[in-house]
Amino acid sequence: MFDHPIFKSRVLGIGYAVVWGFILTLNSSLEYFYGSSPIEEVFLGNLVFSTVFAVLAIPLWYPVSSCQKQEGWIMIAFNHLATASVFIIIWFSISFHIVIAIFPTGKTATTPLEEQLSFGIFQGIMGYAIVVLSYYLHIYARNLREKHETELQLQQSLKEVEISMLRSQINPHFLFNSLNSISSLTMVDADRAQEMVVKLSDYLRYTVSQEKAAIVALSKEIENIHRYLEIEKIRFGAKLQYSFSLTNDALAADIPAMILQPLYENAIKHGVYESTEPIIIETNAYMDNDILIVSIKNNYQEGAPMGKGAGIGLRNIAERLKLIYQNETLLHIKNENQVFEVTLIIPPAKKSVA
Amino acid sequence: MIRTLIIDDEEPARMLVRKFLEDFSEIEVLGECADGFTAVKSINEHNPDLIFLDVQMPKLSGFELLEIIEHKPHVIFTTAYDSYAIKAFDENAVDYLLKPFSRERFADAVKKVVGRIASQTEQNFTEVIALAEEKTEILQRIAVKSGSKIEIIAIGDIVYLESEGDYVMIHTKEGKFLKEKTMKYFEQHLDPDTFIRIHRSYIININEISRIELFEKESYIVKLKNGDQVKASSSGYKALKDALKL
Repeated sequence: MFDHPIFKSRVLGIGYAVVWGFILTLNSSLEYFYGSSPIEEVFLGNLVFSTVFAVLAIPLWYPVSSCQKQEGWIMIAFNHLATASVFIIIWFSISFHIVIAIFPTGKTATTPLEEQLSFGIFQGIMGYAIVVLSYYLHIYARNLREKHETELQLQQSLKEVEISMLRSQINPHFLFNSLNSISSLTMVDADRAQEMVVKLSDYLRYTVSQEKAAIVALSKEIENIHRYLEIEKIRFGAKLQYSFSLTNDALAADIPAMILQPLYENAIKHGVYESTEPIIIETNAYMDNDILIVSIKNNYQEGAPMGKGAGIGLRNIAERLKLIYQNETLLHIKNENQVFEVTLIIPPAKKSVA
Repeated sequence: MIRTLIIDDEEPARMLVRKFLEDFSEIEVLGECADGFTAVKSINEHNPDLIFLDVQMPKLSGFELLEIIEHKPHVIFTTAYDSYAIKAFDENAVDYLLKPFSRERFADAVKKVVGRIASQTEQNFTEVIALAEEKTEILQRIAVKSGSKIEIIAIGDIVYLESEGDYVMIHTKEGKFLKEKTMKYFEQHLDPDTFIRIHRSYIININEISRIELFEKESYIVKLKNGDQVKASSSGYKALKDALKL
């Protein structure tokens, strides 16, 4: 009862009443000018027929709104034929009896029933068709609007993902702190400083040169992550530890470029930054048939915000995977006993990529 | 001699400060600390004249540290934070070094502090802390002093907050702690999906509610999992209902 457009929207409700008022006036005037009955009888008679019709037509919304496209056209047509027949019989007999009760000697009571019936059925079919068609129109307009809205939303979120991806490529914090480490090393250990400059340059070159839509071999990504972790290792020393266990076929598999990087940044930001104890980042990659499985896990210290679940970085990865592979189940997060683990499931690459 | 501590969680960063300090014979380096906790202990123990302080550190940030130490040394912040956040420090009597920094810039900051120590001018932190607070969006933890100890309260452990004049009593699963802050501050800096101000004097964690009962017309009693009961005003009850999606 509450899911009906004329109850949900005041405008539609009033509109419904106005249209029926108009039909009532039109019918009454025609009948009055072309017929011979007194005005009150014409008006009241029409009022009864129209009101009963208007009220009975309200529930027609439910069969219309619930059977959209599931059935074939023949089935729908058959359904409407059946509904219309029942509807018209009920409408006509109720209205007929009410009018006879009001005017026992009026035109309706005295004219033979067969004569009225044909016109009544004609009116009923017209009315039924108009009501059902307007319901269909309403549903169509609503669907169109909804589709338009979801499209807008999708475009908006695509843009946001793109923007935040571009932003997340190089974290200025990481850059400045690394430069500060280099600045320090130049004073105490020039060789290591030189080494770090080269690593940082390689890392930046790879990061800047990757197009956001590119698909690369996992080995390429891991190579760059190695550089990143080595740079961070100079900053954090023994507090940062990492290990990789990767099968050869996994290393050869394809993966969207820079999709893993935010996971390591998260592990460092929420794990290493927030900890006074060593944090170990473990990476595992293997093939399950032709599907690549990559899991990255790290421990974290109690109270670190890592426990808070999916942040922007993780959401972006999930969004990107969804855009590329049209699948929402490719990112899995496990967070228990102060170990945070993210698993990515990477299907074989398709020819074109979002 | 100016007794100095270097506080930074990154070793190369500490090394650099130590190296640059070799140019200053009047400065004596007492030691280095790699996290905020150790630093608080060390500051309270040694009463240094000057500290080099990183902002981003595990467990206790540079700002949180300043809030809870009793003895306030002169501070030179060292940070890689963007200049936007740091610009406002210019207005205040606090020195900062944006990483990476040059030897000259470092020397300027040290000379400024040396001059200030000689003339016995105090540094004013209150505005800096207020500024840091403004920039904090949602709190991840709260540091409180309880006696001589420092407690770090995880946000999830908070059951409710109660106004106590100029202070706020933080009721947690483990006990209660007093913090010199306003209710408004907590209202703005706790996750608004979890913490609801249900009354002038109360902010509650909606995950800690065990029952809500009508008390009298227009006012409700919220029973919490730790057994405490707090009152909700009619507008507070409305906010609570919205948060619980009732």
